[in-house]
Amino acid sequence: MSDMADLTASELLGLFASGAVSPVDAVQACTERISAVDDQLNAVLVLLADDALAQARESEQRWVDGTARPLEGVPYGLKDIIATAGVLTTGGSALYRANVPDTDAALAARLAGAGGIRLAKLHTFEFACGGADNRTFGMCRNPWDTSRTTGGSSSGSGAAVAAGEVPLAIGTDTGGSIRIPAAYCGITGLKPTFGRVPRHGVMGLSWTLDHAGPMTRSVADAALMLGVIAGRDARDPTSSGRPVPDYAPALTASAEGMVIGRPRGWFEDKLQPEVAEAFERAVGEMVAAGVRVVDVDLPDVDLWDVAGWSVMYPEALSLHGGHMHDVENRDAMGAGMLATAPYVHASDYLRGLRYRRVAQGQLETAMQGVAALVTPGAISVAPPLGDISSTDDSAGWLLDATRPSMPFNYTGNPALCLPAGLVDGLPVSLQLVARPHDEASLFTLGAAYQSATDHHTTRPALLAAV
Amino acid sequence: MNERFASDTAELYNKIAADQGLGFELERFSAAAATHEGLREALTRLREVPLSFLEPVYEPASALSWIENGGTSA
Repeated sequence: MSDMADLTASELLGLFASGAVSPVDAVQACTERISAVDDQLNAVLVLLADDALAQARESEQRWVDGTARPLEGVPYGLKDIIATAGVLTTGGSALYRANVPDTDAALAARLAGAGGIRLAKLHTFEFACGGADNRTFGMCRNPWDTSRTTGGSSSGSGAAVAAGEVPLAIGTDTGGSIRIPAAYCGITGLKPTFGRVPRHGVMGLSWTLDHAGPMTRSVADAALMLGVIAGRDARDPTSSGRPVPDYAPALTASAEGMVIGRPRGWFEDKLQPEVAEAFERAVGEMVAAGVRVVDVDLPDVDLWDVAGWSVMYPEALSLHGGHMHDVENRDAMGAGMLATAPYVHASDYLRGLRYRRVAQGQLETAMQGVAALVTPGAISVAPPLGDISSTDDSAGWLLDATRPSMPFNYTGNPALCLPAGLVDGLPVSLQLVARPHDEASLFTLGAAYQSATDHHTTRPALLAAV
Repeated sequence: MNERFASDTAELYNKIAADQGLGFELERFSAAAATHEGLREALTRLREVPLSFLEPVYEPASALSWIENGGTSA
């Protein structure tokens, strides 16, 4: 058997059920992996090894007793903007470095209630803003090349899952913060439909655009995790009241003959040439898997994007009003984002909210006859940390890096990033976007792609030395 | 960018921030100016999009309703 730390949650659950290994073994394997590699990555902010081991023993007994729950005994990590009762929740910031909530976030409680074992709180860019520096906790590094960024702001979630420190993690995504680190770190990342996962207990950046979702090493695990964390919570009035489907059938449904739309334009205009070639190959692999790809027209995505930023900046400033007295002690990109907000006119913010429905209508029209859209997951491979550490460069970098992702924070559609190969030893990805509350189509397409390819099983070179 | 960030622009940015009880170092104003410059062309186009006066405005409710309805306008 390969190192247990490299197994997916679905694989671990199969082995737990057969009695071949136990949750204690899995927690120990992940803890050992953290010990072996995290000095190089800095993905883990708070390690909860003792608590996790105690919970693993309880899980072990549940498997024996026949009372195992959906995630029984599977270790996971949480981006450290997600509240955990009795456990530090720093937001990646010196301002909250001693913050210990007394209540779990809704999604954290659901993971625990499903038998998952919380092993670590994970690195994040300060307050989930973009960037690479974290002056309080240090930089998080990409397991594929530690001189490069993980992307973010779910930096630790991306690195930890890619490096086998945990098989499952939760990230959050306001303009791409699940999908960009998923793309750069070569893992599977799902931004669910807006409202599908309640945001109660999650530090906000922009309440209109914030999402939380799974970061995993397979589509099957993303479906498994979403099934646990999705569903209405009255403490988040924007959470959806729709029933949570059983996503498992979608994983084995046939993708043969499904039609997906390729919008090109905005999504492909600024691609690094090697990434463009890799994306073309990935689309070809989709076609080889039986999916039909047709061109669709979305001429105004640049307006969706700017409308999204016109919404995000003022909402971020509103949320962070209590931190502005000390803004110069915040990390550079976050401070830069907050400093951008005072110059967004109220009329532009309100236009951004009103235009959202126009953008949704355009997308609805473009998606007639197709199950999903396909775009690149990121416009480049992970850049060197030094390239995005200067304030002036980082502002432009953020606008470019979020081109494929921000439009769907704005419209609220679910979007799934999948590993799609390597360019010069670094991951590239593709993004699938479905209609709201149709995550099942993403799982069908994504599972078909991962059945036909092995990109998601390729591991970082860093692990060869473990 | 700092070289292009003219002192009169910095003064204007500073006044607008100060009016909101905020203060930033030049580096932040410079980053903010770079971002707004990057968004300017699209924002100008966005402002030109006609939005109906006669239709009632319910935002964000109608956008959330579209999402809840699975992305259908009906």
